[in-house]
Amino acid sequence: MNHLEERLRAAFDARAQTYDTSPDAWLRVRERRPRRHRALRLAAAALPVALLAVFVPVLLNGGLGRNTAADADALYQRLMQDRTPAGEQLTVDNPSEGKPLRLWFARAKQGHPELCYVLERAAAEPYGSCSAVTEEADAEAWFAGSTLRDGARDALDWGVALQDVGGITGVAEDGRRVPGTVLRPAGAPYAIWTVTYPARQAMSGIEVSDGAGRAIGTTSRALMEGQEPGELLGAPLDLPAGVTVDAWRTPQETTIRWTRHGTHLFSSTPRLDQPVFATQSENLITGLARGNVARVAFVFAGGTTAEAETRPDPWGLGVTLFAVDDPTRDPADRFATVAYDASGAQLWRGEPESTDPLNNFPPVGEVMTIPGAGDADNPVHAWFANIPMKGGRKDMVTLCKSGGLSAWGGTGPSCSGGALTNPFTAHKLTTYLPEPGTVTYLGVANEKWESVTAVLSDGRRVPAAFLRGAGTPAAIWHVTIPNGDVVVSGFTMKPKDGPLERHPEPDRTCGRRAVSADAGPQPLAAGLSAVVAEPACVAFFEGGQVDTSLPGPLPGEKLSDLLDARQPVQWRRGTATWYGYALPGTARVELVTSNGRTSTVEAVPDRFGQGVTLFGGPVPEGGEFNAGTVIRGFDADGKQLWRN
Amino acid sequence: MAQPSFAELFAAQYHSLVRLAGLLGADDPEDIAQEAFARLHSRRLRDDGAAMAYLRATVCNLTRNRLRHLRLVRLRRPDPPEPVRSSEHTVLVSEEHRELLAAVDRLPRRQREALVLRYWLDLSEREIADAMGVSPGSVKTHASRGLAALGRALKEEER
Repeated sequence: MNHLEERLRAAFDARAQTYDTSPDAWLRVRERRPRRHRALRLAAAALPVALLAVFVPVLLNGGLGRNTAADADALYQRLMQDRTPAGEQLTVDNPSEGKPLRLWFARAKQGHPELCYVLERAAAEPYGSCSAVTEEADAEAWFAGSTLRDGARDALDWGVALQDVGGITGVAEDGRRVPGTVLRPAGAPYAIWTVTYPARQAMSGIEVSDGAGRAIGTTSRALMEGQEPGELLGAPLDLPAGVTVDAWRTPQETTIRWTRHGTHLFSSTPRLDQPVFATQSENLITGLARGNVARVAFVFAGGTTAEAETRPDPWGLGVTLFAVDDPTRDPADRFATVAYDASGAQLWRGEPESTDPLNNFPPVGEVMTIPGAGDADNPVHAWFANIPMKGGRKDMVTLCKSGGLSAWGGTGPSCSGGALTNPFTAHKLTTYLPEPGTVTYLGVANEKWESVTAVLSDGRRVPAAFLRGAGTPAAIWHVTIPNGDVVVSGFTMKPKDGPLERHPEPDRTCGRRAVSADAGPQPLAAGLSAVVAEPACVAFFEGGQVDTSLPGPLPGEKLSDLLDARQPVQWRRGTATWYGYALPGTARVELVTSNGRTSTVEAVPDRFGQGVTLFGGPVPEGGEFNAGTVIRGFDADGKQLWRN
Repeated sequence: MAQPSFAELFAAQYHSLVRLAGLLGADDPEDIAQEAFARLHSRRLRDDGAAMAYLRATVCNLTRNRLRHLRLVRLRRPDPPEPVRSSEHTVLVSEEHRELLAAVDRLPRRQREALVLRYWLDLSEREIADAMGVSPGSVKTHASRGLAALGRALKEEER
């Protein structure tokens, strides 16, 4: 590395330090989705008329009246070839097709639970797939699929719920509420919920209630829909296999979206770095190709092949689009892609990616096996990847792990990079075989750390072990517990030369426990109230909505343990309010927004014995919460105690 | 509501992506990073690695588009755009880096992206290519031209 490169790194590092983040960034991200959703709704109003002109081609791959129960049975058999059932199969009425919809849970080869479905159609062949059940961090029920399609009078959304959920209510975009049904298949690991509604009044989300009918949270439909911002570019294009493609344009970019019955499959810009880009999901291979590609073939190991005729995009983007049923059962199967022009001449061939994670992410030093995680057949591995570091910089590492279901829901390897001096970060991997499986947390260990300890929901402390493979650039910490009802509520980390750090994990049961807490909520200003429900749960209520995003106390500890001179306050912006908890002795909290608006509220001691003060108030009119927002605490005499 | 990994990813990477947007010259890096996460939320990606690649590419794209927008709005010299920086940032970055960073700010946007992704994020050429939406060969070209331009600019400053 020459002198200029060294200076450049130092200069970038110095400038990077000057960018701070606002405390309500997480809330801002969550707020952006509904805003985009409204934008989409306006554009979607034109959809039914536009679809009339292009609806006929949707039947290309089907054939009127050809589908039979035997087709659905064959599809079921194909899906279950490498899976085992987990509970009984449900058959519900699909109002969009007048045909049955089969729903069931299965165990994948790696043992993790999946939700499977077979959807029979009135005028085409059935389709179906299995997808890993990925629990949400802060919700007890979430969306999984929909029968919504143009031309149908009614539609049905379905999803997964934790067993403790008492009820589901669909919420339409106009606020109308539709009662849902919670089904509990015998022997299944989760419940399944359904909501049937008029297709013209699509759902925007669901409200989740506990066994007593009390609202304990909401879940947006946005994730399943894959909403895109901007204006719809003309009529959608129907492809084989029930896939619909549309395109959205903003002043900044154009996005192409693939969906099937209102369920998002894939989104992409029209830009292509190679002649074909294809992706596998929901038992489909979908993608886009350059304008001169007329046909695409996918060649799997063993000779299985799928072929798709492409369709030119109707929006003048200069690409062709395709969708075809995935002939394999395992989404990990890789394929070579071959592109042909209209004359049948081969234009290009792209070889499959390696399925060996060590090929894709070559290790530097020893590949470490995490003791006690998985088993001999399904070990959990961690290694530092040999990602070329220009200039030989020593303080950046890339940690990869494989062997379990990542928190992202993927079974493949995952890697993340960062500086060795980065703050404490925990990566989660869950294995399911042999039953009940294991949950492993691991991360890069800074050499200045003395210890890391997992704090379990039952109050137990489990010290993490440190491991350093031969020739690796750093050590890792890791801790493994059995997969079950006892979960990791957070971590403590003791630096060699500093006070103990606490890092609580999100707790999805917090909302349910907060609404039923014996102590009841403590009223605050502006219609706000707050509850602390041990373990690990603090909740603020605003207008019937519950926010559980602020860190709760670690089991056996108090909220005051999360606060000190460096972190004197934890707070959030709500819909029209701001609220939080602060160091004891705080009598007044003043907020100065990034654009100079101020708000001052009283802070009162919490009545839950948590040793903190609680506060809340209305957002000052026109206040913006970008970087530069300042919050200060004062004692009863008006003396400033802290600034954040 | 977020998937566990989304919240984890946000906690682990948000600050870094704000900094990336800032280093690329965004006038409101937090806005860029928040939009990138909001877009990620509506996508199904293969794994965490794909999610990070998506986030980096989105930050690059959004910053590029934002700079283009500012260029049109403010009618400044078209290429390279003058980054909008707060006085606070100017004060915070020490004097020893100021000349070099000023030269970085004057680089064409592609060269600046290649240098930030290589020397701040330490990405491989393939990762940089993914983030910038160009070929690995173009990454080499942009980076070497950027370094050469910086070298020339610093020599001129020293005269």
